[in-house]
Amino acid sequence: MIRSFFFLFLTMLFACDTAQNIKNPTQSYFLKYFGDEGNQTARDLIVNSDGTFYILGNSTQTSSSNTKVYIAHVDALGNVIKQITYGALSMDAKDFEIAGGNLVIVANRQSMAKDVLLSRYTLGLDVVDSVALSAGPSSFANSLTALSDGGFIIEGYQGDTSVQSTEMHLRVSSTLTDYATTVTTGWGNTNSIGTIAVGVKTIQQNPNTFYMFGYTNANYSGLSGTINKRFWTYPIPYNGSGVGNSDDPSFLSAGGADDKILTDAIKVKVGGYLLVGISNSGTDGNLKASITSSTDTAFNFQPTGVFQDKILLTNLGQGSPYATAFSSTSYNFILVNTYKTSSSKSDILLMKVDNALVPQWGNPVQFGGSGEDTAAAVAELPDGHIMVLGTMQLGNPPEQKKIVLMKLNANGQLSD
Amino acid sequence: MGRSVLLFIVGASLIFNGQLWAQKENCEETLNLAAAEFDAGRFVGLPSILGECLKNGFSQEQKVRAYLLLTQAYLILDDPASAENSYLQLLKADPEYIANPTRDPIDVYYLSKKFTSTPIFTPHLMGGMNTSLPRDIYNINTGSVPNSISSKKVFKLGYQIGVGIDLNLSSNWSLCSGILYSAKSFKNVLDQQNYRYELSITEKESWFDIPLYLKYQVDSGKIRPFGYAGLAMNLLVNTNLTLSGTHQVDYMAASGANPENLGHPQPYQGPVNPINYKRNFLNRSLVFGGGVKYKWGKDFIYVDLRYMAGMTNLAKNSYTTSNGQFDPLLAQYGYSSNFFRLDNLSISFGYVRPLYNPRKKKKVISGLLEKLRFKRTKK
Repeated sequence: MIRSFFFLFLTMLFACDTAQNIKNPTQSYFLKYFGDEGNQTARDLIVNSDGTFYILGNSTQTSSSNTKVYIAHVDALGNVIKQITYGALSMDAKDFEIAGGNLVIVANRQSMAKDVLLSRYTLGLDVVDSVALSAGPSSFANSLTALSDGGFIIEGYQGDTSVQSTEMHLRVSSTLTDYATTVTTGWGNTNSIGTIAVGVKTIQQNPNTFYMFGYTNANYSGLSGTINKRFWTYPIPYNGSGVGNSDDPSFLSAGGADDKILTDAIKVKVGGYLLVGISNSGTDGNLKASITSSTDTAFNFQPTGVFQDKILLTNLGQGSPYATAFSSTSYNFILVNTYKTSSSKSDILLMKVDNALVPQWGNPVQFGGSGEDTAAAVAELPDGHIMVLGTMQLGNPPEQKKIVLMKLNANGQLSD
Repeated sequence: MGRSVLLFIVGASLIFNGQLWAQKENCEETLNLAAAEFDAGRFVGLPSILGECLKNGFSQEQKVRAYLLLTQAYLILDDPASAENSYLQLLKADPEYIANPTRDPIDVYYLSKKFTSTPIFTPHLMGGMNTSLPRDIYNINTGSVPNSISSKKVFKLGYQIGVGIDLNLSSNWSLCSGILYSAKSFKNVLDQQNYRYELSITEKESWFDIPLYLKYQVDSGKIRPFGYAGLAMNLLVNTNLTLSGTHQVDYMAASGANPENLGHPQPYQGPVNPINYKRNFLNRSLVFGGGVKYKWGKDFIYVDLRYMAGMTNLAKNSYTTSNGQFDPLLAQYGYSSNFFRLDNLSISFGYVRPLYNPRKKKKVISGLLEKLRFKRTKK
């Protein structure tokens, strides 16, 4: 016995830490930067069932070059398998989906007319085809939704959100054919209401029903005049027409006179929808979230359908207001920008809430350095790890912006 | 007045030295007289002949000769106690005296076997320079494109000072320990080709190294080689990180960069960042080394070349601060700490003062074994 302890002691004494007896930490958590020279900003993240990821962003290599769409296929440890950029005109990638065995990307083109480019690439990042779309001059996409018929709806707006804009929902078939011009039933691309109407996300409820989530300053009380901006949803009917639709007075978030800018809407796993955005009160920003009843199998557009409507975080400052969310089985993760000290210095906050919007962590987890670090996407892996995609401005003083992908533990930390 | 004092001092000094010289001459004559008496077989009077000079007058070398003469005389007179006492006095005069059967009488040689003057403890001081080499266990960088970051390790010089003590198990073998304060440093240059960004990471560490090793040394001669092997406990008490480098400025966003800098490498120098929260305090290493001691009077000076092979991973919190928060160094410099061990090569120069302890040998081993019940005592 004593001899065994003696040998055990000796073994421990002479044991050497090597890759054979220490676990590689990057298998459990990591932080990786993506991009080349210049600025690369993150937009969206897709988690694949094989453990790999697709990252969507924008890349501006020099001050005189056009911004291009950036796509990277990344392995489970955050290493690039392949990365590409594309775009002859100055581009602004907004969203992407995997549909029909392809990667489908929607980006705004800063051409004279300002239109939308929908592109398809193979999963190996080889080009398939693309189509330019618009609802008229100055058409801007915010998101892309893959439909059950193989087609897509591009949600966004037409116009200028600081002056006058119209909610826009471009639809194409699986062959990227524009519904508005070729489909016999016709398709209404826009819904004009108030002076500011912006579409953020469309979610398909059934083959013929699509829910639009956005924000507007329309005064729904009597459908006349304008009021402060509020979260706004309505069902896009089979023909896409919003104007005159009897379902128009759908849902407007409650609250005071401050502007509430929706930035993301997701379907909650257990039912219902989670809407997140920024509520601007004077010179400060707050994280606002609304969640509909989980008992709803379809969206209940009556105010009673909203069972939680909360300000989750305050004092987020002023800058680029943005929040995004991800729904897990029992919980939801929300990622938001916080501009604490100035409009050029921001960090990323991650919080976990339950389906009643009750925070699950003592404080949000904060990521960032001394530059403008902003949120893009959040997801949960099947093993409970959390993936966060964002943009960080590297350097001291801050210089270039890089896309950052972080794999976190279940508590949102870069550790085991 | 001053001249008078000076003359007095010089005069007194001359007189004192003259007396010493005269005394030395007299004692040499005394020693020669004693040797003649010994050769003539008149042993009994030797202690009284040598007594006065032994008290005050003999040089160290003369004392050795005198006590050797007395030892021989007492052995002949069959007075072993006095012989042993004389030999002990001889060893006190020259602790490194080793009886030689070809030079000394055989009975003195056998008597010498009962004695040792090997120090039980030997303290020493040391100081010198070192250089460190990190050995990566896992490369934990923030680059996403494999092989896009080339890494070059640059040796940096540090220093160490310390004290040590040897427990002499025999005249050749010692169990040694000590404590050294070491300033260790190393540099890693990362060339992030895709960002056209060169980052120099210089890490300066303060350590307390506590080695424990077994040493073999040659125990005679003017130059005495030694070698050793063992373990060390290494306490990493402070770590500072300095990041600097150059950046090829092609595009700088929102930084107010001077357009004239575009296309030219721009140097930058970051502040010193304390990163104790990224390092483990308690570490271990294997210790190998060797060198030579040079006898300098009764003491030694030595040079010691030592290699400490780090056994433990020094790094923790690669991406985070001590409380698990996001480390701003990630965003400011793209810095994350590798998992690594640290090897260290040092050269030290030291001074040894053996605490000689002339004494009669004891049957330590036998007694020890009996106490441990490995050997039965005869009844």
